[in-house]
Amino acid sequence: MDGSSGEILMISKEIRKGLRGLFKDSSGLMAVIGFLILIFYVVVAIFAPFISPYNPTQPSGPSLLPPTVSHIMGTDNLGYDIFSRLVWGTRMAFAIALIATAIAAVVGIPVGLLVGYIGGKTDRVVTMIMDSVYAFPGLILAIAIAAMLGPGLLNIAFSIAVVYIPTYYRVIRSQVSTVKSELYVDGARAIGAKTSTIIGSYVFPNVLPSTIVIFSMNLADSIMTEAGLSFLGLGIAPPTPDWGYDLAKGQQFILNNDWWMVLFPGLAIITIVLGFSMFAEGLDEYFNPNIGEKR
Amino acid sequence: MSLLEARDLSIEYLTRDGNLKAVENVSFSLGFHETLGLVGESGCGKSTIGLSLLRILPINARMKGKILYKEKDIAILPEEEIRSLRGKEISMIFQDPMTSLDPIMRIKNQFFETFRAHFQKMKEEEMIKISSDVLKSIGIDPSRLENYPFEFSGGMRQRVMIALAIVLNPSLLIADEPTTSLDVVVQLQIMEVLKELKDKRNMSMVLITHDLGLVAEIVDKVGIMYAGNLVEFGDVNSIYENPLHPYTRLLLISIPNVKLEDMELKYIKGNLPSLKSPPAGCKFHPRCPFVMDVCTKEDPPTFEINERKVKCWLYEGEHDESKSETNIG
Amino acid sequence: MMNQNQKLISVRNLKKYFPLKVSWLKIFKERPYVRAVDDLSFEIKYGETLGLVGESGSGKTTVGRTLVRLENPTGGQILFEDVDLAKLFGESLRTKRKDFQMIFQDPMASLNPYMRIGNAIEHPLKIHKMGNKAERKIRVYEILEKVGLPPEEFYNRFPRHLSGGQRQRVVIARAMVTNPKFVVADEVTAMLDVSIRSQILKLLIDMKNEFGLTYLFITHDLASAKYICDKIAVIYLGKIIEIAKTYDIFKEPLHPYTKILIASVPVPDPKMKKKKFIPSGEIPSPINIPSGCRFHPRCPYAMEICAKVEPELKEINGRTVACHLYD
Repeated sequence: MDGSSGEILMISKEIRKGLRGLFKDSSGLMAVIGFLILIFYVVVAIFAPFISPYNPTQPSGPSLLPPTVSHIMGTDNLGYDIFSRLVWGTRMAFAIALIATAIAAVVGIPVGLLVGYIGGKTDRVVTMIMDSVYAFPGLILAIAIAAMLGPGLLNIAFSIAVVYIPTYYRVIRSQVSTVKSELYVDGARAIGAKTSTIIGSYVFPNVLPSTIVIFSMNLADSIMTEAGLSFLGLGIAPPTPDWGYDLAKGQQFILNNDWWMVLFPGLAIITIVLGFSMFAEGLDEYFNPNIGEKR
Repeated sequence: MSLLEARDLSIEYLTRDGNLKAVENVSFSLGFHETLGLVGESGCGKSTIGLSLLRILPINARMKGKILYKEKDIAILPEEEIRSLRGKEISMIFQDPMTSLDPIMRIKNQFFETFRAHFQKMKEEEMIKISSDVLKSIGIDPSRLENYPFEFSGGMRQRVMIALAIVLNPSLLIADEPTTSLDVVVQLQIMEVLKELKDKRNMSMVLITHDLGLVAEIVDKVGIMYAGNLVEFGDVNSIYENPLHPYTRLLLISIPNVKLEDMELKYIKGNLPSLKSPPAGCKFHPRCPFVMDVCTKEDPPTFEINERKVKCWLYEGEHDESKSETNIG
Repeated sequence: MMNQNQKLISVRNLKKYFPLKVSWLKIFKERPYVRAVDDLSFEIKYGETLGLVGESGSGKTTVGRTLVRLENPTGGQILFEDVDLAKLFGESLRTKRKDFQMIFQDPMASLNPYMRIGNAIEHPLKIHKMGNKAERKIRVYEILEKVGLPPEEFYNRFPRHLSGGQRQRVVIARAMVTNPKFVVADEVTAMLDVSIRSQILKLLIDMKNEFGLTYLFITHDLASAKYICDKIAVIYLGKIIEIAKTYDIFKEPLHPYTKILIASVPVPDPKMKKKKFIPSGEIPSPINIPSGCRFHPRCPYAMEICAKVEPELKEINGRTVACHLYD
C-alpha cells in the first residue's frame, strides 16, 4: 500500500511547490481558494446524510461497477457506492486530521517554546528524546502505538499525534533559539518583563507563522498515515467510510483496470491536502509582518 | 570623450504593490582618471546606479536610458560582451567584506577564479605572481594568499576585496559603501588605499557613499542624490564651498564635526520620502526651508549653472548667470 | 534637582569575561576567556551624560549591557544610588528595572514585529503595574507626542510601517515611559540615515532636559558625542584609557589613541587633502590582549616601558589618562 499512497503524497507535495510559485504575489487569492476548498468539504461533511444517495456501509448495486448515472463514481468490490463512501468519509478525514494534529501541536509547541528558551542541559536532554522519536519511521511508530492501543478514532488520532510531536518541537525549538537572541527580546528583558511574558508576548508570536505551515502539512500527512493504519486493520474498523482505507483497497484492483476505486479517493485526498496547504500558506504570507519587506 | 556617461537613466523596480521608481532621469559623466562620488541616503538610488553600471540589477528591475562606457551602451550590449567587461574593464567592491568573499575558498583560489573568468589558459605561476604584486601594493603580505577569509580582520578583508577587484587592472572601479561596516580608524586606512589606486594606477572610480565627509578628500566630482533624483552635480570644490541645492547645504551643515566652536546641533527636519508614494513636485519640498508654491506642484528641471547642475526651482532663470548668493545657516 | 553633583551611578572594577568554547582535547588546559570588560571604574552624576567612545570590539556595548544587567558581571560593583545592581537577581532586579533603561543600536530589530506601537510603549507600564488602563493610554499618548510621533497616527501601527528614524523614536519613547533615572543609549544613531541622525540626537538632548535624565551614551563616533556628552571616556580593549570633560578632550586630547580617534573623523572639506597621520593595524582580539599597555603595538609614541607595564588610569594636572607619556 505504501507505493500508491506514497506517490500521491509526493504528487501533492509537488503541486504544493508549484502553487507556491504561482501564487507568490497574490497570497490573498491563494488563501481564498484554499478556504473555498475547505468550506466545500466542511459543507459536504455536515450535510453528508442529504448528499449521499446510498448507505455507505451497505451494498447498493453490483460490485466493481464503473461510473454510471446511478453510481457516478462507480462501486467497489463489495458493491458499495464510492460517491456515498467519499461523502461520509469526509467526516472521518476531518476528525482524524484535526484531532491528531491538535494533540501534536498542543504538546509539541509549548515544550519547544519552553525548552528552546531555557536552553542548556534541559535542551540537550529533551532534544535527544525528541530526535530519537523523530528518527523512527513515522508509520512504523504509529503502527506500534496503534497496535498497543487498539482501534478507535481517538486511539488512531493519538498514535498519529505521537509521530508529529517531534516535528513541532524541532521547528519551534530552533526558531526560539534564534528569536531569543533578537534585540526585541533583550528589550523585553530590559523593561522588566517576566520570563512567561517574554515567551508569551515576544517569542511565541514570532515563531507562530512557522507552525502554520507544519500544521497544514501534518493535516495532510495524517490523512495518509491514517490510510495506512486502516489498511492494516489498525485504524477505523471497516466498513466505516474512510478515504484512506478505500484508496488502499482500490489499489488491489488497479491491475484489473478498475481505476475508479483509486482515482476518486485519491482526488479527494489531494484536494483536501491542497485546500489545507493553500489556506495555510496564504495565511502565513498574509500575517507574516516581515514578508512585505523582503522584496 | 568621457569614460562613462549616463544619459536620462531611469530604473524602476516592479513589486507586488506597484512600481518603485528607484532612479529617475539621472545624467552624469565621468572623464578618464576621474573619481566621482555618488552621495545620498538610503533609498536615494545610489546603489541601484552602481549595479546598473555593471548591468547586475535584480531581475525585477527595468532600466531606461543610456549608460555609455567608452562609447558603448551598457544597457543594450549583448550578454557575452558585458560579461567580458565585468571584472576586466569595470569591477566593483561592496559594503560588506564579510559576506562578499567565499568563506570556504583560499584567497589564492578566489584570485584564480577571477583570472580564469577572462583568461582560461593562464598559468598558475603567473596568476600567483600578479596576485602577490597586487596584494603587496595594497599592504597585504603575499604569503597570505594561502589563507581563508576568516583568518583576516574586517579591514584586511576589504583590502583583499579591493585586490580582487583591481587584479585585472580595470579602467573603472565602482565602490559601494566600501568603508561603512568598518571602524573609523580602519575606514581611514581603506580610503588611503583607494586614494593610492587613484593616484598611482590612474584608475577611474565611482564611490557610492552616504558620507559627505569621507568623499571630500578623494573625489573630483560629486553627485548628490535624493529620492531617485540627482539633485546636484558638479566639481567637488565648488559643491563643498558653495552648495546650491538646499538639501546639499543642509546635509553639509548637519554633519557632526569635531570643531569646538561649533556646538549647536543642526538637522534637517522631516523624514526621507517613501519611494512607493513620493511627494508631488520636488521630492525634497516637504523638508525644504525655501519651499515655494511651484515646488509643491512641479518637479523642477535640471538647471545648468557654470558647468554645475542643480535640480531646484530656486535657480530658474539663473542658468549661466552669476552664482547664487543665498545664504542659510 | 536636589541631587546635583551627587553620583547616580558608580561603577567599580567592573569585569565581564565571556568563556570561550574549547575543544575536548584542551579541556585540562586553562579555559580561555574573552576579556570584554576588564576592570573598569567610572561614575556618572545626576543629570550628566557620559560618552563611552571606542571602536567595535572595545567592549563598550558590553559595558552598557552589563550596567542594565542584560549580562551578569564577572566581578565588580555597579552602585546605582545606594543599591549594587551587580548583586540584584530575580524579582528584585526585575522590579528595579523601571529605573534604568537601554536603547539599542538597531531600531529595526529592537521592536517586536507583532506588537503595535501603542502596546509596545505601554508594556513597561503594564509590567510595573503603573496606572490603570486609561491612565496608561494617556501616558503613552503623551510620550508619543514628546518623541514627535502624532499618537492618532502611530498608536495602532505595526513597526513594519515605520522608517528607521521613526522606530528609533518609538524605542526612545518605550525607554522613557516609566520615567527612568538612567538610560544607556547604545550607538543609537549608527544605523540611521545621515539626515535623521542629528534629529535623534536632538531628541535625546530634549528628553534629557525635560526629564532630568542621566545618560551613558555609547558610540564609535566622537563627533556626535561632542553635542550631547558632558564627559567622554575613551575605551580600548575593555579598559578606559582617558576620561575628561568633552571640551578638554577635543581641545587637548592626551592619550595617543584619543588623538587618533579625533583625527579619524572625516571632515567635509576637499581642501583638507593634507596627509594625515593614519595609524597602522586594527584593534586586536580581546582574547589575546597585548602585554603592558594594550595600545602599545599600534602606538606611534610607544616606549620600552609600554610593552611591559600596564599604565594606570590616574589623575595628572586635573586630567585623567592611562599613558606612560604622562608619568
